[in-house]
Amino acid sequence: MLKMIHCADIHLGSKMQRLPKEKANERKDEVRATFTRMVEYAKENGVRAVLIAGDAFDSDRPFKKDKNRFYDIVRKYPEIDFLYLRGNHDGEESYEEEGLDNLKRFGDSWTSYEYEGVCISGVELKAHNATSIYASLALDERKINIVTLHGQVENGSSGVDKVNLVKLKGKNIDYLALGHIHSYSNEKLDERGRYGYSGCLEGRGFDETGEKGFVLLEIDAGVKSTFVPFAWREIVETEVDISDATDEYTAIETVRKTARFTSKNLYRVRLVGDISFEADRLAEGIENECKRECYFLSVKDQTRKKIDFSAYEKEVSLRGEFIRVILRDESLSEEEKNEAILLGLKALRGEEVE
Amino acid sequence: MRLISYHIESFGKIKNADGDFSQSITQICQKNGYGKTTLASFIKAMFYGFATAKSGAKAFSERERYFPFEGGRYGGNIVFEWQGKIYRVERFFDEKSETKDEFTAYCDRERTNIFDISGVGQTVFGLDKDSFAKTVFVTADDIDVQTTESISERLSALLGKADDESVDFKGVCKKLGELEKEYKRSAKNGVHNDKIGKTKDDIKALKTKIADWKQTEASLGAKYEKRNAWIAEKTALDARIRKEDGKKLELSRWKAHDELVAESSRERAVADGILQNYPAGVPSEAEMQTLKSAIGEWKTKRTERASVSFDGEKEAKLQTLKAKFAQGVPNEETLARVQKNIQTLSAPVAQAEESAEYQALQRKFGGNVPSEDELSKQETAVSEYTTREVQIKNMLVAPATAKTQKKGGRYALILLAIVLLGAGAGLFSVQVALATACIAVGAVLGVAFFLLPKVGKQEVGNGAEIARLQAENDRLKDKITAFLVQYGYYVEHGVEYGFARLKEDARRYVQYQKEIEEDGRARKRASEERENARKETESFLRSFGIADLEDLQGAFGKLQRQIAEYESLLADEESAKRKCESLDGELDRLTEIIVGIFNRYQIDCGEDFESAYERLQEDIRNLRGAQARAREKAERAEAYKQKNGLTERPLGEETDLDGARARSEKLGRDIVALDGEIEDAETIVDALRDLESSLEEKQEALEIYERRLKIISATKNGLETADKNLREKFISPIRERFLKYAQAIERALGEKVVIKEDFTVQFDRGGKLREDKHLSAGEKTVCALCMRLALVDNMYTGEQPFIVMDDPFVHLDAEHFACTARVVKELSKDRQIVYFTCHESRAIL
Repeated sequence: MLKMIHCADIHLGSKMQRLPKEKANERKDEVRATFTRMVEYAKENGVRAVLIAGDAFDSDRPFKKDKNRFYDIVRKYPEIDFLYLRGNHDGEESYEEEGLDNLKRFGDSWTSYEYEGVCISGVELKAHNATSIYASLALDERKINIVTLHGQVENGSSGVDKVNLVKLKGKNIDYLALGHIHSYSNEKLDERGRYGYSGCLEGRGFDETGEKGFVLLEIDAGVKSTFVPFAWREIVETEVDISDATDEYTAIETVRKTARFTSKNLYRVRLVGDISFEADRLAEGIENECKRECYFLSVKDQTRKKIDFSAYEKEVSLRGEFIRVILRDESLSEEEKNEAILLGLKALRGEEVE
Repeated sequence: MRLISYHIESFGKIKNADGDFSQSITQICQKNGYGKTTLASFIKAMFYGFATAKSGAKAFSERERYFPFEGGRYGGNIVFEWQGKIYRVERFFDEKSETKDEFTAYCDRERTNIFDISGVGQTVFGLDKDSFAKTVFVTADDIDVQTTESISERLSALLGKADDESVDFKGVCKKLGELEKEYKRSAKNGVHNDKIGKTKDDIKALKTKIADWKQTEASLGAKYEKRNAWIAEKTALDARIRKEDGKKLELSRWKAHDELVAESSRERAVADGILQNYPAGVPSEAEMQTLKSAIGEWKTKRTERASVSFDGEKEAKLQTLKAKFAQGVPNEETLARVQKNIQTLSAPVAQAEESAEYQALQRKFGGNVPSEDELSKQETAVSEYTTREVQIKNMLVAPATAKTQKKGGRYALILLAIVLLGAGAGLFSVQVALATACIAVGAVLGVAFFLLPKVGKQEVGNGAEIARLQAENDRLKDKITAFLVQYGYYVEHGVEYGFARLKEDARRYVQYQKEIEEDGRARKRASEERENARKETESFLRSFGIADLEDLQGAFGKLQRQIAEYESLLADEESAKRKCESLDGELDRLTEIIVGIFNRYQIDCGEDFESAYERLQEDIRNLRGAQARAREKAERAEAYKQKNGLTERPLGEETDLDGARARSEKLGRDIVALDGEIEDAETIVDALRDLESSLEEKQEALEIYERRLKIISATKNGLETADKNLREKFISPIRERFLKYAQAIERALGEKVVIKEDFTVQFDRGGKLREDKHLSAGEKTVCALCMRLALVDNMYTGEQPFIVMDDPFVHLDAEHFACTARVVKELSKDRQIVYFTCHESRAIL
């Protein structure tokens, strides 16, 4: 049985969004380390080839240290072939490494490699070939065929960064290994084959939440694909409704209960709901309270203040008039009106305002 | 709007009370505790009701406060005129909850739904409960002011507050203004200290830095290209250098190869030189081996041939022995026979021996052996005796059967007696006592034995026949015994046994006598044979010249040794002869081989084969060595050629590569330096990303600050606008109304009162406007009251309400109160006033 790994969107050298510098650098190192761990996994599990379906690097001009690391790993494991398809982020390279027989590349026309009767074909999508590649793809139906591309799947349209699924149906593809989308998926392509994204190896920001890893392909009479969660840390985004909280303390407890923090992961908590208590720095307070319980925590306060201003609307007083003035102010959004009224009422009560 | 009357069922301390209101002033002058405040609260409660009492609230709610002390239905009604109609509103309160209150409204005695339970006051006065309470109810505190400035403040407070606390509007605006400045203010000396300004400065600085670093990032491309170009150039140079180095190396390898070829040629010449001495060539390895082997063998054979001889001593000995055995050597049979004779002669003569048994028999029979006849007779007698004995026994069997046991016991007794006597005798020397006891018991048992048969015979007692037979048999026994005794045999073990022994011994004695006779005859024959043997042996030995016959065995041995020596010498002689013939043949064969080989290669070997061989061998060794070395050098040359891929000698001259090397080395250094620059630039670009993140964060922070500023500004502006609106809506009309009331003051007090924009009150005294500090306390109170009335005039959008004064002038002295009372009376011409006071001195009417 032939074993392969399908991975993509490693984005070596990518900047880590929304993290303090120290943690951002740490995460960058972790992305590199996870790639190394994946290759070690490949060796330990008898994987013959690692198929990188694009965006190994984050930039067209990857940093020297990232390229060196990549090539060092390729060089360190000569028994493993690295089938490297360039994607939209690493379409160009600042310099080439020589003498790496186990680093196999794909070009802008179909390039195939064969392992024990398994044919792996791929092409790098460019403006000049984005529509023509489908017609030129001819696969031997007697073989197990794996095709790799980098782009967003489209049903019917072709183009750079687009994979036209309609035109790949009936092409004797057993597994279409895709890159570009950073979440794992596996879908039926046609009667014979399936297509899927491996997703990225590590989440790099709060737009890359959930389990990340690679796909292990076990090829015998057919192709068996298994998603292997492999990220060092998981990025978790959680919406917490704190409508029932009566104060900041109970809000924190609700967040803890809902988010279930683990020390290894990164969390973004979105506070939602209508709250009836006033807490000027609720998000900051929750962050400070809970940040030691996880690797990183970001709290966004998207709650609405549950205050009924109608009671004051007819009040013949500065307060009533102030509320009426603010409510009439068309330059303010509803949220801003709420905030302004709360601030004003607080000031009128003689409380500290910030 | 005008209050007409009220009815209280139960409310606080008041129970079942009714009252009417005057159209101008309704004065209720009662002592403290009467319930003036309660009545005032009742009026308010009739228009606005009570909120539900909050459970657990610390403060006593109004609903709880006025819950009837003495029970009864909690509530009542109030009648008033509004918009030209008479209304009666009834309310009865639950102790706790507003929802359980009962509410009924009548218009001109008809029930009406124009009001809802909580909206009577709102509908009638156009004001909420708090605003109503703030304006309509006037207490001593409300008008107890020291300056008219505080009137202004109180007016603002009245407008700004829903509770009893004061509002520092200016302080609020100042605070918001300061907060606004925290977010945005002008730079001082070009330095921003506000959040937005600082953030913008940071953003600007970041953008500048990013732009700067972007150039570094942009320069990376050129650096990468330069690196690629340098690497390409260096790679080409290195390839050229490698090629030239390869050429040099190849030439040096060709040189090494050529040296090997030359060495091979030299060795080949040496070999050829040797071969010149051998025009027919040199023997092969196998031939040399054959030659070596043949010469070695030849040498051995020759030595062996020289050692083979049959010397004179052996020859002389052989001749002597040949003479001795001229008649021939005796054969084996003869020698065996002689040997046998000698053995016979040397064997000892056997002596007849008599066995102990024979000697014992000899003593018994001593030549008097009973004859067969005597023995036969005696045997018959014994038989008769035995038969009769059996007969007697049979006759005794029947009567004796019953006594068998006794007999058995008797025999046991005698046996035991014998054993004990024997044991006693045996033990006597060991233990006298025990021996004595054994003997005594044995004796007693013996006596018993002899007594027992007597008893049996007495019992049998009938056997006369038996006795006869017994007597006869006893006689016969005596005869047999007499016969046996003469030969020394007895019948203690029975007659039959004694006779049987005699008969056997007699037979054996006769047998012994026969054997002794036969032995004597054999001895005689042996003696004769020995004599014959001696004669024959001696004759034989003498025939071979052996005279000393004293020791025949020794003489025979000597003859045997001579025969053996003779035969050995004969064999040696034959063997030597055959060996010499064989060695000569071998030597001839080997010589032929050796000479044949030498001759084949035209080599003069002489007779010293060994020397010739050694010379030849030396030459061949040298030849083979030279040939082997030549071959080995040639092979090494070829192998070297193959190994180093030497196919064709490089052409052309060696190029000077110093320049290329220097350039390559420089490029190497430059690349290293460039790599350093790239790494530095990448570090900057890496940091650039952080910078961009920082910029994003700053921009986000700026957005947040700007939004917050917007909120703060909106709040501040909103408050200021609200204040302005209030002023526009209430303050100016209030001022106008105040001035109207000021006329009343002027009429009442004789002084002209002026109010400024900021509600600061001045008065014209002596044609000059003076500050309010010159006003008396009463004047200030009147001003405050007028201000309240002016406010009420402006706040009520519906019909003007009544004014409830809850002993407001309690602090005034008589003089000031008198002035104030005049003003109130003046005012009551236009407004219904409900005036509560606790003292006659404060009565207005």
